[in-house]
Amino acid sequence: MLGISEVRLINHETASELEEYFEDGTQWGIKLTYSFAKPEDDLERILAKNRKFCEKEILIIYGYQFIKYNKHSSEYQFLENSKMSSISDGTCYLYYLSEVTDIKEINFDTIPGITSHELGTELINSIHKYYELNMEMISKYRENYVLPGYNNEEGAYLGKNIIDKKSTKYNKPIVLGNNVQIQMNTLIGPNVILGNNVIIDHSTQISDSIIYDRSYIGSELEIKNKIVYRKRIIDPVSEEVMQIVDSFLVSDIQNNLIENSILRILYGIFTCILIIVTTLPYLFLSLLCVIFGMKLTSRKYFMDKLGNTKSLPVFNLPGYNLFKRFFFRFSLDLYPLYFKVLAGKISLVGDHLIAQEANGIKLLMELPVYFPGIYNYPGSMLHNTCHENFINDELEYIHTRSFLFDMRVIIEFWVSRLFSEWRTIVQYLGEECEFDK
Amino acid sequence: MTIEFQKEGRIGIIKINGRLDASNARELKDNFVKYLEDTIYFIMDFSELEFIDSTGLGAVISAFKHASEVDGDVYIANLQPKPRMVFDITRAYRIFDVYEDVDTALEAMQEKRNNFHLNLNEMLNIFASQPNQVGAGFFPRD
Repeated sequence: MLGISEVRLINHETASELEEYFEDGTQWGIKLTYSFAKPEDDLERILAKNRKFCEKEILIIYGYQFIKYNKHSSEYQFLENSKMSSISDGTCYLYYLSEVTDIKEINFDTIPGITSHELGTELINSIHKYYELNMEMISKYRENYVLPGYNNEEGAYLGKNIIDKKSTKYNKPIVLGNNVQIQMNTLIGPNVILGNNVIIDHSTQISDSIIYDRSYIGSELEIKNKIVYRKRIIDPVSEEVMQIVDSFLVSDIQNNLIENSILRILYGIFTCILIIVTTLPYLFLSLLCVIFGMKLTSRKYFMDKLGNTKSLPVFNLPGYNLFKRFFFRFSLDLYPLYFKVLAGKISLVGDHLIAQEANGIKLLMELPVYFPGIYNYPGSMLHNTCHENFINDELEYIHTRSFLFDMRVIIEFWVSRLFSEWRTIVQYLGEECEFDK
Repeated sequence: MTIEFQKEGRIGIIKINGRLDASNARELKDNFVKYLEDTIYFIMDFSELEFIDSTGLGAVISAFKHASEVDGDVYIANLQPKPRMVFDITRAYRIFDVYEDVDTALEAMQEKRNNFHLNLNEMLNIFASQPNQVGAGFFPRD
């Protein structure tokens, strides 16, 4: 708004983190340079050290401060008329020096101050203050500021290239940066600021939070009243910073993209191997089972927390025929579902499939998140949706899941089907609700 | 990480010091199974817990699950700001009852146990007093 094209950041110490974040300023359309000052340097000395930079008119922001303004105000005409002026709240200072000013002759104590209702400074002396100012800006005074992105509806400031899903919900006010990807069943807002190149994974809720550039937010999380800077989560109230080591929770986007791609490939390869290994036994045994009266039908299962359903192929209840026993003991009933995994319709390992009928919706509501998979933790213990520990099993899985844990689930799933008592398997598959304890 | 276990009446207090993560989560799980032989009501004191990751959290939830299976419970006390953030973002706070300190958790746990026994006694009294109605078939008739 002020036509600033060059910025110099002057610090008392090495500000590698600042340099790493702001880089050369290209992303904001400015030329950004860095310089040092000694702690004992006063403002006059700092300007003298950067005289060349100060040859044109300059705005000096002295100290960590937030500049309050109103883009609709006409009060800023003073900048055109004055040679130099200052705004201060007593703790931090903002100076304007026109290009006619001779730096050597400046006495900062005598620069005339400006009293403005709509232009002012506020010291950012804590993380809490920084957070509070951001939340205040987006919730109350957003109309006063030039916010990034386009704004074609009240309270929504959207950057370029935002990819979201039909099931993504927004509660305004929100500010979304460029190249933001938001996966299904997410709830964004109110009072959310997402930086550029942010990925929000499925079933996550974010409110009253600031998410920095290049951050990945994992699936099924609840980010509320937080600042997320890549791997770090900051609580603005306690000002505690937590470095997260689990990259599937929050992480730097580059690391996570690589990790996620590798994981997706691994699960894909694993599914292909399962298809290759089980094709012949499946064809042979399913043929025999069909001859002995087994039928392939379909059943509607919930696919997400929103209650969307999909019909999936299921085999009718196993009888006591030997071939049927082998068919289910070798988990061959899952064979048609492997193709759904490859098509991306369902996960290989995830939450237990919940059927639409009976108490399905009640169970769905009890789970904090739901992302179904054909192999699942309750299933590895032959606990079906009626089992008293079903919800606890699911909760344990949701909070423990990892690639290794998923592999364990698959192996235990096979083992329990192979070696458990046949009656227990029938109870599990038939979703019978009477268990022998 | 170190785990300290002590008993206040019938309630076990598990104090976890240091970091609870993938490298030592198994230790908590294994120890908890042993503690379960002694009691089914637990308070996890996190006053000295500096860090927790998802595997550590998984171990705490696993403990809760094991206790629930035998009608017990696990309360959490003294959750520190950093671990609290992990409980926050993963919504694990919805699973547990989290108390400010061990004393408050102890009181709440005692109250819960008393109420449980009270309800059980009341129920048994009702059955005993009206065997032909409410508890028909429950108590054998003379």
